[in-house]
Amino acid sequence: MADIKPPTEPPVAPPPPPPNAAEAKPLPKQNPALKAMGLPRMRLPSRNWMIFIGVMSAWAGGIAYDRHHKQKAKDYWIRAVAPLAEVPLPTTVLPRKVTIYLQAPPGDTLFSAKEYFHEYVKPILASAALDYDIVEIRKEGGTWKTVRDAVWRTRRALNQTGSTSGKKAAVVGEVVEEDPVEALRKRTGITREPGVGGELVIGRHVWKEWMHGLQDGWLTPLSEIPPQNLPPAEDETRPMDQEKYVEMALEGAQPEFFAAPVQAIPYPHMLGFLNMPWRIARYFNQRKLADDVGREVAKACFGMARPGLDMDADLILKHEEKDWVSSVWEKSEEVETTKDEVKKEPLKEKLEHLEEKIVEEIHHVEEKALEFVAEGGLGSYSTPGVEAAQEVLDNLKKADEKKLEERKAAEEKEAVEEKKKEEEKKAWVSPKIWQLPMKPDSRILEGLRSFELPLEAERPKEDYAKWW
Amino acid sequence: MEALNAQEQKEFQQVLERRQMNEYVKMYSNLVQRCFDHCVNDFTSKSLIQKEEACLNRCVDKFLKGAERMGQRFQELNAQQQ
Repeated sequence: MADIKPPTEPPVAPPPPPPNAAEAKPLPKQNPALKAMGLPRMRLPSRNWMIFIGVMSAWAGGIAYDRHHKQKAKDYWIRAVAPLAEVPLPTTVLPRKVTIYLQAPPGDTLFSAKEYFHEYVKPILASAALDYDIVEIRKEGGTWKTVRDAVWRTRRALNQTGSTSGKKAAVVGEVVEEDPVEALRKRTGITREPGVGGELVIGRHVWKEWMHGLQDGWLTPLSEIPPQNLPPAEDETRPMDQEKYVEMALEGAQPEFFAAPVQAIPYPHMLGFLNMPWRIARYFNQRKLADDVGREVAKACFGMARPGLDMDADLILKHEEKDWVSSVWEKSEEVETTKDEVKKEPLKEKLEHLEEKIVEEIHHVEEKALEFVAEGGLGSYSTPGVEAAQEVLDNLKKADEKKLEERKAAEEKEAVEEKKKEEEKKAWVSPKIWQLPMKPDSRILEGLRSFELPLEAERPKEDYAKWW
Repeated sequence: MEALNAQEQKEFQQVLERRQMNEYVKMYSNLVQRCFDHCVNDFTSKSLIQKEEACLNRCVDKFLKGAERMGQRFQELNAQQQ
């Protein structure tokens, strides 16, 4: 463009240099070899492309870096526990068993907890060749109830027989006498590897419930324990008052429940659009989480997990509570639902009644008219008319009866459904354990602490709590 | 079984036994073949060298113990379903 002469220029004068000829850079020299090959000149992409490529590669690089080091952190702990799998085991001996409590995190479903388990916990357990049981719980209060019922079962067995055979079974939530597999194992001489199994509690929400369950289980007076664990419809769904606690029924005999090391495993789980910045930060720092979780799981694998030794039980994973959705802290729903019912019901009923009344009224008038005809009120015009009127009247009566029956049936059905609904409501009233303060009884903590640990984890623990 | 007379029952038993034997021999020869292929690869002497022997021991151990454990688990599964 620059070398096109403006047409107004006089043709006589020597052509002036184009206005920006001095500023225009000469094209950089290309390698003649490349030029001869017909390759285009090498140059940087445009500014916009540079920005796009830069941003994209920064994100992609961040992710790749994190995932690479996450795998390395996992591998570290996988290799750390691998010697456990190398120990030869006779064919009649089963490996140690760990019980895992998985529960849907606040505001989410069980699926995310499962995914988390498969991503961070399972590889290490598999590498240690440990057997494991997963207790999957979908609703708030489930862990609490499971643990409490297990303790109750143990205590009932102790109370009835005085023997301790039921203890271990209660720990993993199964009953020896009724389980055909256990019976078969006993018969054929298959035993478990000696040594502690332990329990893995994944996330603060489960930890809270686990502790409350343990406490309610052990500290309920024996007289208040139901004779059997009842179906949920009739069971109590509220945590008990702390005032009701008594001295533990089992003095002297150290309950085996406490000897099972329990390990709380961090489960950072943040939801919500406004939390996006934090969630992104976590997304790019999963390596730290993998290392943190790996350490805790490895502790459980070596049988040296124990909570609250040098720490307040309440402080364990406490930072996770900040991530919880706010609905966890809402007061119970009962009050609101009753309010709604009071508001809605009368109007609805009133309208229904009104409708019925109008229909009945019309019916009544019709019937009266027809009766009048049938009785010959219109004189002796014709017998067929009277007969027809009679017929219509009969039909009407029949229809009425039918309608009445239908209405009765519908009412009965409704009553049954309502009953069902009420029962369902009763069956699971969320106990709102997550809201409760966590102040375990000192006796429970003593029990948990009385278990001796052999070693300390080799790798120094870094404080990742600030991240998670 | 009740529908058969004594003679037939005897024959049936024999068939069953033969089948079991067959299966056992099959498993055994399979084991021998596998472990031989995997472990024995030095044919300069007629006897097994130490390394080969150790390998064979482990191979057979692994095979038999694996089969045993598997059998146990199947038994347990059976008991659970009943």
